[in-house]
Amino acid sequence: MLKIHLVLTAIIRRVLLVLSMLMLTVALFAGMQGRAAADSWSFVRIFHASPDIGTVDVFMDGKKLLSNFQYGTVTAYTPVAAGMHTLQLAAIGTGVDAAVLTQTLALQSGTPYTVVALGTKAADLSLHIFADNNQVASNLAKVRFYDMSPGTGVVDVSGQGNMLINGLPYAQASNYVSIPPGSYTFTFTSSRESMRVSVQLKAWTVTSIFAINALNNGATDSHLQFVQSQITGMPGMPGTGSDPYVAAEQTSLPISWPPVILLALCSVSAGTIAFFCKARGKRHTEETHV
Amino acid sequence: MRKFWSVHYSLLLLLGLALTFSSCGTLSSTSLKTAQPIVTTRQPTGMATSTVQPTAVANIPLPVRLLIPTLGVDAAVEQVGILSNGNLATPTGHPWDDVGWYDLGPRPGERGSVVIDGHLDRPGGYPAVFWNLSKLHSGDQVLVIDNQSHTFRYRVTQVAFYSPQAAPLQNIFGNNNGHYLNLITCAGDWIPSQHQTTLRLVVYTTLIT
Repeated sequence: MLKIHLVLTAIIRRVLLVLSMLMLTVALFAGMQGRAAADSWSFVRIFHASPDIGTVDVFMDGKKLLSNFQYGTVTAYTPVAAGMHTLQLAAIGTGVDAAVLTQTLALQSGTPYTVVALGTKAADLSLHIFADNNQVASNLAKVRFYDMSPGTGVVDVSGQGNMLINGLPYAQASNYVSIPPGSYTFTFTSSRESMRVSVQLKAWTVTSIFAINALNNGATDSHLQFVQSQITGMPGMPGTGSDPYVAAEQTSLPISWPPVILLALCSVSAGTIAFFCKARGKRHTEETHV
Repeated sequence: MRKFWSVHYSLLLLLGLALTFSSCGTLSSTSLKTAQPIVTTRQPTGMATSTVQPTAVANIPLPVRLLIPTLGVDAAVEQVGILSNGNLATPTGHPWDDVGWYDLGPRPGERGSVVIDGHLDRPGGYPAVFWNLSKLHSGDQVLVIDNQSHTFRYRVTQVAFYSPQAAPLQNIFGNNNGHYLNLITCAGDWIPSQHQTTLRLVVYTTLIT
């Protein structure tokens, strides 16, 4: 009985030891993650696609981020500390307490986001957040389409006679399309109309094309209007390592000259000593003969 | 004895010839290292659609040397762009001794993320220009000198390792929140099948003066 008790105690001790080590590892890992996140940024750009709320001020965590933000405009990417943030939109000059739209954003470090203020009525107002991928695609240009036009419904997007995006719903962004650089005319086709937009796509750029409702004297009409934004994409990480298992390139190795010079000096010295020894030996031989 | 002298003088002659030719080689290397100004059309990263007109070559300040005093690094700066595979290019003139400034990004001293890369090692595993980059610590200084003799001093703020697929590219190349210089090299183990190392090292620095 005593033997069983001892065995059980030993097992429990080992299990506790393993568990504590696991917990320590998890705690250390979590600590590292926390430190990494503290040094990182996420990146946010905001697009105003809500005609009903007019020109607004934008607040993040209660502080003003943008002033006089107008319908149909998109900001540059702004670095924001990763984590949870409250974004609020208020009619220009009315202050954060009069916000017509308040939403919490969960932002991951290192990720760029497009946040779209969308909606036609107070009840429908919302922020739509899209994670972006701004890495370049080889020597190509990347383009992404956003259907932000209320009432238009599903759209198809074609370019140079080719269907690029089939059935893009309202309030959604398409996948990225990678195409050779050049001039393009893209056609947005809905059940109501077909509208064209011309774009110059450069290599290594990432272009966003937002379809929104046109404004006529302050009121939206049913036609599409386009807003473009183009940035230089981010390259992938460079290959700065070399194969350690191949023979070194002799020509590129740094040559250490001091040993070579030392060898030359030793050689000269040895030669000089040998010369004097030889001369002295010769003189000694001559003196002996005399 | 005569044989000894013939061998001795032959050795001296060979050494002399070797030294002469090596001096010529050094001279030509130095002359090649002189920065060649190139006309570039630049576009700020992370900005909305905009175009910058090309400027006269003489007026464009371009980085020519990178100095890291604590590591004894004093390297010539080449301009690098993007490879056909979409990755940042590396120096080609003197690949193991020079560093590469990403010329689609901002210039040293400008707002945004200036990026300079350099090789960790040479074929065979011998040290290259950024061999000791991982030894940098927060507070160490990095200096960039441009072709108009301006010196820009940066201070190390963070040393980070990433897998190449998970590196925060926007953070490295597109942070316009301040004046940054980010140094990149390889780290980790060599993967023969992928012909690259497992990690990338990024040293983040921020402008002091």
